[in-house]
Amino acid sequence: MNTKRTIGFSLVFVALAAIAGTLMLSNSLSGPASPDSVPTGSDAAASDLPSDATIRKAQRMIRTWPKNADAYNLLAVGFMQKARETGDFGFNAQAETALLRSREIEPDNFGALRLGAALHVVYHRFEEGLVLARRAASIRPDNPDVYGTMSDALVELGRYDEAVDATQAMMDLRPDAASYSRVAHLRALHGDLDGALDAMATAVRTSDAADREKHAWFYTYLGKYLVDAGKRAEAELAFDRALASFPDYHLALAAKAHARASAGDFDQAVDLYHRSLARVPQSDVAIALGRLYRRLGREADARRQFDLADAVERTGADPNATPTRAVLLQWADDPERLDMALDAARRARAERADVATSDALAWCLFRKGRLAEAKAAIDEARRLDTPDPLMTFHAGMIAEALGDRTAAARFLRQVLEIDPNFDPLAAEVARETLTKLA
Amino acid sequence: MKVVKNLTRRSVSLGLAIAVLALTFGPSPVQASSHMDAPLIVLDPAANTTDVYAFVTERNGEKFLSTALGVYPHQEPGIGPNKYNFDDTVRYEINLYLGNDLAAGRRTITYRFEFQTRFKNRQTLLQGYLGVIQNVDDAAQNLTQTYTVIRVDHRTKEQTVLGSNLLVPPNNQGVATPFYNQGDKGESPAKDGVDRGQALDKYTAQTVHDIGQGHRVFAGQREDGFFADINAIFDLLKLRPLTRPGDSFDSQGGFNLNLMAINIPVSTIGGDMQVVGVNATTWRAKTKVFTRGAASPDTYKGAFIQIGRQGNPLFCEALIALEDKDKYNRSPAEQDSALFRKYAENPELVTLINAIVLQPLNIPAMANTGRTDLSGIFIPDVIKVDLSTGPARLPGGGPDHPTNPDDEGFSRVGIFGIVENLNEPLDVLQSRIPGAGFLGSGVQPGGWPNGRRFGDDVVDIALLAFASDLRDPVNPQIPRAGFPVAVMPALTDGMNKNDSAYSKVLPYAGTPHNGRIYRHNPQQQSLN
Repeated sequence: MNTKRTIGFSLVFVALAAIAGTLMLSNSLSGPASPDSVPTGSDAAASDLPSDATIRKAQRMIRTWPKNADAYNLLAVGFMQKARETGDFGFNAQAETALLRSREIEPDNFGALRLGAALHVVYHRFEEGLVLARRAASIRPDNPDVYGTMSDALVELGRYDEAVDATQAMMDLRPDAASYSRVAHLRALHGDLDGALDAMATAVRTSDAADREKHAWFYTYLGKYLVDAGKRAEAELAFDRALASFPDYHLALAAKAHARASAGDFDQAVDLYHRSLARVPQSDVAIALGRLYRRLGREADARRQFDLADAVERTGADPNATPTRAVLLQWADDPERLDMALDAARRARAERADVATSDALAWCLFRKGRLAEAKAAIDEARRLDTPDPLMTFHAGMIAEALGDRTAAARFLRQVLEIDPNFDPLAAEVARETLTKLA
Repeated sequence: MKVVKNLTRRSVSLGLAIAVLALTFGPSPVQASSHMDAPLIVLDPAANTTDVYAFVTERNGEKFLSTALGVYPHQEPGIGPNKYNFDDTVRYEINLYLGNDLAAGRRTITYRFEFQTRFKNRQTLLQGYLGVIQNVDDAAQNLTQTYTVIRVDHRTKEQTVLGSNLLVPPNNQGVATPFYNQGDKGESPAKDGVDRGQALDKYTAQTVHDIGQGHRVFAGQREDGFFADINAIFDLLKLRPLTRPGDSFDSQGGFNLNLMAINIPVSTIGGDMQVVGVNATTWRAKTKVFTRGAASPDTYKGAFIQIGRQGNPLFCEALIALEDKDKYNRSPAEQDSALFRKYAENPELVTLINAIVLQPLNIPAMANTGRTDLSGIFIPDVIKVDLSTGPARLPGGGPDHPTNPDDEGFSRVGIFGIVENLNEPLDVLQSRIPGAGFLGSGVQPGGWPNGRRFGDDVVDIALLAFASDLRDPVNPQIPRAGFPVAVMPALTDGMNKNDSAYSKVLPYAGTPHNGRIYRHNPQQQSLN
């Protein structure tokens, strides 16, 4: 069927829904961009966003049929996409308000359940997201999107076997960019980078180039896997494609900055990190830039970025949420914050068993000198053989501290082989330690 | 879909929406997610089917079922060249339903198109063109697609390669592709469609292929031959002839798509004394999440899954409810009777037209329940074509085109030319199958819903069909009783013709718009 045309006719059906009160949200929700928009950080990105067309369409429906739940669901879709495109988390709050209204009109309607689940995941409320996604799936077991959300939540909770099942269910229902990208992520987590690259390349090829942010997202992650596979030049090409599709895309700018730093091109890396932060201040990007500044001996600049990361953490959507791995690792490297980091990592690990959280906990324990516990945590983090450079570095350092010289050398050699500049500060430590071991 | 612009935030009537908006002015907390956040809903344009065509043609005394499938809609001609190609990983299928398979919605024969893409030079940014293309696939054409056509007989499971390594022409970029354009100049608008094969432009002529068993095929970029004022239909059904006469426009105007077209000799499908069904499906391979341990090249390959389907125009787009559209795309026509019959027999679109369009004008409501006359068209959702008739009358560039006029007697509304003050000829065909045709009379519509031609005004035909009532063969009503005849000409989207001329030979659709010089309807911009 022609989805573009369907979009046109879909309004007709929302009208029908107003009469019948039974219809659900379409999966055909994009359209050509439109110039009207809400002010955000960058003019280039603020004008002409694909999500604006969706939002206006939903508002128009609401004006005509104020008692229609699906019109509010569509508004939520638009705002969630706008949050992606602008990096402005505030739009998710608007999506949540729209979903509240949708559920007032029609409690437990499928669209609101499905989108509510996805919104929980965006907010890192993974358990709640999982509950809602399961409820949505019980209503419409043949809807692929629900299994995507389920998979996202399960991955973040570290329940990988269940995530594989949910993703396979999604793929079996509809092979498309959304399902291929989740397959890629699970393969990468399980150490199958070739498989991840294959699936993400398919996602890139399959995704609609007119939906620019999403198209850029697939390119960005293709590039990240290429970096992990030690193919930096190809990775940079992917980041450039992402930026051509969606100029000033903060995720692609940060990923390219990392690749430039790996190449030793620190000037451009600094510039790209700043551009990413100017679009969307993200704590992990601020930390990456801070570490680069520290490597360059610009300690005052470094501190400013670490402060920015803290500020972003404090003003986050949920101040009680556990900090990201990048923040935990940075705190762990700061003696004054090590205890705070360990506390937070323990709290995080109590909530979720994903490999990134276990890795952060392992590093905090290592810094505290609690090596046996650190070893248990890093083994847990590495249970999938995830080819994550920092994780491999941590495993090497913990092994070295425990006197396992063979394992230590193997881990450190491995991470430096893939990328001799995997991290501006840790790479140097890895090299020194390796020399010491030899 | 374009969204009407005059909706500003100020015009949103709900205080709620305004209150919500107020929350985000000024800098807001900006901790984006640290986890992966893969997109959830992503369109798949290369596998997105737009329209299926099916009609009877004749060439050198031989009769053909001519079919076409459009994919990858809304191609902005100026963008490219690489973005709009057939996808090597998609299976594109045109399906025939013969004999008892027709009523059952079971595929009998499939013509599968599989594409391959190659580059002459990967060390350049000029991915599509290295210079002016004199001939298809010459040294100046960097990206070339070829394809294989496989005939699958589902009765015997036999697969026959009808043709392989078939060339796809380049997209119409402009200066690089002058022969698509008037005066063979890259700066000129695209040439009009033509009335005979010898008149086709060079690139198209070089890529019309005669393949096995007497089939003739084409695959490549063409002009989007669908025309409708989608914007008006979208805009709360404010059909412009009723509200703003003269303002209608072709929402598809100025856009290209990718088309596959094939002439199928009726002799290869059991002769012409039959009514056959036609639809199209697109398929993508699924994959297994877990591949560890396995190392063969086929590690990641999985079975093909149907992800797109197209039969009659407007069925999925206008009659099936949102919640079931995705299911429609993923299900076989065999299940249509069980899953989707309700949408044809109790069309909620008619309810809507009654409420929004007709009621304010005090026009009696159209029947919106028990419409077995409509389910006869849509269930199963395949286009039914009577092969026993003479060739369909085909459109060219309008009745008065100097070199390529419409066939004499062609009407965009086909059999609805019978409605007096529409000022359209009655365009019907005579069936030779006993008891076939319109209410068993042997009279078949000249176009949709007997087959579907390029140039069929499917929106107006559907509106006229809604307003009619053909359930009682003794007393067919066009329009149904009480429906004011005076209103009939206004029951239209007001968009009566395509924005460019069709061809009356394969590939039928018009020349692709020139990427350098093309235009959408000017109102499209203001409504964007």
